Amino acid sequence: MKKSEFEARLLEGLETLSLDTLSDAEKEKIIDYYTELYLDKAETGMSEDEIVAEWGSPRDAAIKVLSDGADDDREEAKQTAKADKKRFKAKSGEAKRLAKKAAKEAKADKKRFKAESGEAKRLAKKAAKEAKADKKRFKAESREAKRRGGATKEDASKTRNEAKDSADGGGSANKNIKINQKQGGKKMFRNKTFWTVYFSGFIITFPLTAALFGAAVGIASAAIAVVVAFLAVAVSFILGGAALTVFGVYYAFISFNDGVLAVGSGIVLFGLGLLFYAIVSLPAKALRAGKNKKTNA
Amino acid sequence: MDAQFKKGLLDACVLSVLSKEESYGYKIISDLKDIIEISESTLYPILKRLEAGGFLTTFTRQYGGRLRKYYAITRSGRHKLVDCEEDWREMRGVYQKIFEDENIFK
Repeated sequence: MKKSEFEARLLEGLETLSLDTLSDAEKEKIIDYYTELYLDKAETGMSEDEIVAEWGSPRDAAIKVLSDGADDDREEAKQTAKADKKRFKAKSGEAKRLAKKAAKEAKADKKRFKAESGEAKRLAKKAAKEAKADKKRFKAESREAKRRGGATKEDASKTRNEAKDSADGGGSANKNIKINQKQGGKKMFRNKTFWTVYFSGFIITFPLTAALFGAAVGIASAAIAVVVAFLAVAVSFILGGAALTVFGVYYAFISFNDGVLAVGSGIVLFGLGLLFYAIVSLPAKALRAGKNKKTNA
Repeated sequence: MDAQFKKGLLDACVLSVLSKEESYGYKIISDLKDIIEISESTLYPILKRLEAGGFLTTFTRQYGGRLRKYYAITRSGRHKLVDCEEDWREMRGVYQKIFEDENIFK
């Protein structure tokens, strides 16, 4: 056998026995090893055939090269290779069985996953629907709140102006008042409970409020009527009394007694008129006096 | 000789050869031929295993117009050789007892 043939069959054997797991680099190393041995032996004068014959069969060489390095018998090497082949078949059978099992489990997992993802999709749809409804509700509520917030803007600005007037000139105090009022006002006007209570209270107390108001108006009207009546009486008594007094003085020249009587009646009437006037004007005078005191203080 | 038993022995033999001087494939086989039966195909995996274990190192050197691969023992290789020697002493003691002392298991 020639060296090249030996090498070719050696490579074949290596590929078969190693189940083609040997790398090209490793195969090259092995060939280089034999080439070096060949060259070293050739230098000693041996022929190619002699050298190759010493190496034995390429298949045995392949077995030995792939072994752990024991110089086995050919038969033992065959037995080992057979045993390895058997073991490999068993392992590959086991591997196939495990692969089948894994494939089955993967199928079952796929089924389970489909079911779970279907359930997850359904839940996600439901959550999306609920979120949409929440969004709609929130929009409606915020619109309502904005509307209420707009109606109370005027009140808020009034309060702001009052705060400006009463302030001692400190801008930051006014600002704080404005901010607090605005915020408090906004908070209050957003409060549903507040409005419910307010309107309920208003509806309940309206009749009473109306009655009180009516009574107040009536009383005030009556008071005014009394004052006007007193004034009218006072004026008429003063004028009447003055006229009677003058008439009495003139009539005294005609009939002294009747004249004196007329003068007396006139004076009395005049006095009554002043009294009535005093009754009506005294309270007003007192009020005016009190106001003047306050302003002077 | 038992294959497994021989395997350990061959490691020690190769390291022993290399502990004397650097050598190459054909020379190692030649040096060991008179001591123990070893073929070119058997030597390759031994050298490969010892190199993988860090017990020897390889390098190439120019020789006669070609590059020849040489093998040299490392420090780890020397320690392993010492371990092999100790194993051998222990084994020899056991073999002596079991094969030379007839009364040992009585």
